This record gives sequence, structure tokens and C-alpha cells, in this order.
Amino acid sequence: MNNLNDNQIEALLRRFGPKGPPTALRKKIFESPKTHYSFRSIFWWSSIAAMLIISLCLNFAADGVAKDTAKLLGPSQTQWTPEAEEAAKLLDGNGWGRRYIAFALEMDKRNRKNFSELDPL
Amino acid sequence: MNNRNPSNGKDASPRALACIYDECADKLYRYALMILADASAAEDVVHQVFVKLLKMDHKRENIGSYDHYLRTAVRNECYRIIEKRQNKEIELSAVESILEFTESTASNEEERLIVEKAIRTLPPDQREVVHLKIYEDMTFQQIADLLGISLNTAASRYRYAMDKLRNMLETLKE
Repeated sequence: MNNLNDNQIEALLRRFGPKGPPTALRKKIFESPKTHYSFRSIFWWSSIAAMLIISLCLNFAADGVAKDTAKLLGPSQTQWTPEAEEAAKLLDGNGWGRRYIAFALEMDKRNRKNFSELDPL
Repeated sequence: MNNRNPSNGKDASPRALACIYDECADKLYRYALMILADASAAEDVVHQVFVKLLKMDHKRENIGSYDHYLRTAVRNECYRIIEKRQNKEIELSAVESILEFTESTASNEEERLIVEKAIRTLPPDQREVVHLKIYEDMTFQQIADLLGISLNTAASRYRYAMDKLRNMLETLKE
């Protein structure tokens, strides 16, 4: 193939040609177009499904923890001092701030009680 | 002009699309195969383009010429794949052959492998011009119009491809 000119190269290329499509391709396209989901869409939908399952599991777990904590602490007998009221107000006035302060006061009470039981003095 | 002729874009039913497939798929697949030099990627490209077309429903009526639309879609998809796999070299032994014999004259398998190897060494844009010129018998002006490049660019891509093929064919034959 020494010193091939353009015509010779073209003639050589013309002896061959790119292959045609496989016969199965037509079937693949036209037989069930509705079932052809792209990999990308499968990836996104499965991610969304996984996120939903995880959030449901976490929600159930959080409910369980809340119930266990309520059992452990028993009915709230928090003594609301003016300082505690002010701290709750600083957090958010009502709702979660108040509950958080109540929890902190209860834990503090229990710690003090445990500490006094352990301390020989 | 017959409005039921599928390739003029007026009849957009799935059956008409199947006719369009029968009319154009062969040409589109060969075109994609020469740009990508990868049979399975070319199959994916043609598959994706036709599935997208099927999903377009009533929007298909806005397509003026299916021939032009499909060729552009295939071309864009091919270059998107090339851009995606930029740094991933395809192992030659791992891919299917892309060339077949067109005539039964003195060609042999060894020669086919040499030509295929030489073609694979060309960059995609040069392979594309070679394909359009040699296998689709287009003029440089038609190639330039199709690819949106100047006539000189089309001709010089072909020139570079010929030089590279000459070198490769001589090296491989030795």
C-alpha cells in the first residue's frame, strides 16, 4: 500500500461500508415504547422512593423515642420558676421552647436526686 | 406533495413513524456508527432518537422534514456521547466491528481489519466527513450545509482524514 493516492484510498474504503442496524432494534423501538424508561428516570424515581422509605422509618423511630422518653420521665411535674419562664420565653415563648425547658428542668431534678443518693455527705 | 408521505412530517402516527424508521434507520445507524465507531453506542443513539420521537405525540406535527430532523438529532446525540466519554478510550478488542464488505471482489478479512483500524484512528469529525463523502456521496457544499461549517472546513477535514488514512494504511500494511 505504498504511496496510495486519494483515489486509491477512496476505492479501498468503498470496498467496505459501515454495518447496518441490527434487526432487533426496530422491534425494541416500536413494540413497547411505553415501557422504555431511561436509566436516568429510573435512578431519580428509585432515589425518591428510597428517601420516602427512610423518612418514614425515621418518623417511626422518633415516635418510639418520644414514647420511651415520656415513659422514663413520667408525668411532668415541672416547677416553673420565673427564671425558667423567662428562658422558655427567650427560646420561643410557647411550644417547643417551653417543652425543652421542662425537659431540662426534669433532667436537672433527676440528676440532683441521683447525685444526692450517691453522695455519702 | 402527498401529505400522507411520512417523511414530510405531516402524518405523525406511530405507524407512519415505523415507515420513517424503515426509510431512514439504516442510513442514520450507519452515520452514527461512523461518528462513534461503536456499534452498541450507535444502536443506543438511534433507539433514543426514535423513542423520543414517539413520545413527542402531537408535537411531531411541527417537524418540517423528518430526514433533516432525524439526522440532526442523531448527530447531536452522537457528539453528546463523545463529550461524555472524552477521556475513556474504547478498547479495540472489546467492541464489535463497524465495517462490512460491500462487494465480493478481492477484499479479504485482513484488509477489512486494516481499513477499520485506520478509520478508528480518525477523530469523529473527520470520520463523519469521510462517511458523508464516501458512503453518502455528498459534495463538500452539501456536507458544509449539513454540518453548518464552511466549505473550506469540510474540505480540509476530508484532506486531513485522507492524509491520516494514508499514513495509517501504509504503517499497518508493513
